[in-house]
Amino acid sequence: MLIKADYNEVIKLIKSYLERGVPSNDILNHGLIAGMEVVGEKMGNQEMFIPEVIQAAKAMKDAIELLKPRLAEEGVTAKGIVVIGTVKGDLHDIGKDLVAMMCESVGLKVHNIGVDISPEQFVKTVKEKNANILMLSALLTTTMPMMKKTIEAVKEIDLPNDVKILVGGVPVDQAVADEIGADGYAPDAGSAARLAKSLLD
Amino acid sequence: MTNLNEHESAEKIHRAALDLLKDPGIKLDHDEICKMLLDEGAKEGTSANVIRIPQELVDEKLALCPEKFIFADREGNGGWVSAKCEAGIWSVPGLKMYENNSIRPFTKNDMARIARLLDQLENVDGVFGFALDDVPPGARDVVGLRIMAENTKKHIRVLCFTPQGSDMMVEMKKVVGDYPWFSVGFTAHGPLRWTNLALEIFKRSAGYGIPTSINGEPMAGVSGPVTLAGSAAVGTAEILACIVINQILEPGRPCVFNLGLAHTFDMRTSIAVTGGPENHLFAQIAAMMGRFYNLPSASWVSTDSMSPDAQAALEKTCGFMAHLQSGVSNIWSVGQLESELTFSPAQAVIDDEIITYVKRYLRGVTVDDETLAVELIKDVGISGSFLDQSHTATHFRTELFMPQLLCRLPRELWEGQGGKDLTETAEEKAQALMQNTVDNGLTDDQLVELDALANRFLKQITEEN
Repeated sequence: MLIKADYNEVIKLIKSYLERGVPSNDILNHGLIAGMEVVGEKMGNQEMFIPEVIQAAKAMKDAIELLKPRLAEEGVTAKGIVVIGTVKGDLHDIGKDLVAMMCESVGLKVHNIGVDISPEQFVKTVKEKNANILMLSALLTTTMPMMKKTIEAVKEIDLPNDVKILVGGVPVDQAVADEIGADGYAPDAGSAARLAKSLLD
Repeated sequence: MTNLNEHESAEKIHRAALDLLKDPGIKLDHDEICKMLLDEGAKEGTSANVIRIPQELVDEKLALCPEKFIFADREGNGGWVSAKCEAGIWSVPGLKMYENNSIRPFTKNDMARIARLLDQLENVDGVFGFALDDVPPGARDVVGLRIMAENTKKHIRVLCFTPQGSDMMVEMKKVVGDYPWFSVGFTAHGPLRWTNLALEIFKRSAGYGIPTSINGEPMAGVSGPVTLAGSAAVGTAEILACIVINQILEPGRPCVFNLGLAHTFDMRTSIAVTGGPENHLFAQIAAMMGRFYNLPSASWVSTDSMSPDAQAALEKTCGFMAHLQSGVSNIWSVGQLESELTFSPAQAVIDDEIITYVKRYLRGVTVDDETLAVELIKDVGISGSFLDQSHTATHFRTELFMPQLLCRLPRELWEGQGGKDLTETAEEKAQALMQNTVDNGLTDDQLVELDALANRFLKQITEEN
């Protein structure tokens, strides 16, 4: 149903599985995440397009909300924690929101903290949420220096996790990522999610 | 327009835009400008900095916009720009340079070279600034203006970066002359929002007769409905709001209604599409709305191709044909690749050829006694030849398109000359043109003064950072 991006059927199924006592871990990993992997493949093969992927991702997100209490009872945790935002001075969010959605689809817990985020706010949120991955977005060339400042600010502090920093946005490429000290770059939402997951595997 | 006639379609889009300006209104991240609008009769919206603009205010401020003005060259000359003028064609902004099959960030030296190139291309009327990688971001507008002023006489469209940059450019304007030898502009952050950066640039550049393009740039399916008319309504609302603002800041400020930058969102790859048929439909709508408001319109001909290849040729040719035929007043276009990110000198030269080709087509056929040439036909007679007739010698240069680049050789000659394709030929021509010096229309003293201002600004920005 996820692969068909049928929101109502997905929710109906999840409720049915919960009533029947199917372990939440199985529902999550063998149902939802596995389904979204197929969705991701189909997106890569251009059999499914972004609006359909978004519908599937929305279904998955709401399904996970239904699963949360049971996941907590069974001690199931997310594969990793991502903080994502657009850097200070920049209000663009389309790409960032797509990346956030795709990261959730691969089983990551995502804190999408919005746009115009200062280095200090990024640092604070990374610490508070115990993030493994920080993802920075920028569209304006004038705000790209803020990416570097944010990376420097995060690297200056002591964190319990080895936080990997990924960057993206129209004016960003691998060369820019290397120059500013990022740990990775992705040109689109699908590859960003795969990169984030691979860094945690 | 399909289904509806032009006036009816324009009226519907206009009404939809007015409806949006009333509800929900438009968000303006600038407290002072919000207050200005409220003082002029606008109303507060339901959240902070959201302003509802009534039709009466829109009508009042539209009436202040000049119907025609010029984009001047360095000597103050230029053709009239209006809702129904011959299209002015400019180059484009971007981030990267594609040259000799490789890509790299765009530099000051590139700006100088391409300004000289564009100065020599017949169909280019204006040169656009670039994101200069070897200049701090806060100084790219000012430094870019300085470099372009030295390397072309044509009108300059600054790529605006900062309000402080606007202040310095106002100073630089005075060095050359009190005429609009450069223009500015900025884009809404849709849907239905203007950022503080954009509004402050409009504010700081107002009051000096500097024309501005006001860009609504909806992306159908993302920042506007996927149905093009709906995105046109969103973009129109954004533009009208900012026209109102600019007329409050400077009554009579020359404004360009720029809806033709609108995109669609590729639902497979998530790029902002620039070379698709829908882009050309947005240009058609832009021209239509420009005529409706009696304002010059603008659009953007680009390609999503990465190099000057067959895709670029296809998308650029379709684009130029569509935009010129639609009657857009001001077309940003020459040299661009990669969904508005990249400049290619070879593509610039190819674009110049495409424009000449399309203009010839659109000029059409004149049917009169001279062109019918019936007496001549009778004189030449059955099985005769027209090649040696003075009528042919008189008319062939204006009647026939003579390509500068396109191959029209017999194969053996073509092979003998190296067997080059269009891209290779264009690259060679571009490289040769970039070596030439051009007349920039400035005195040495003016150049020295512009240099001093730009360097002072650059120093200030570097120290601030």
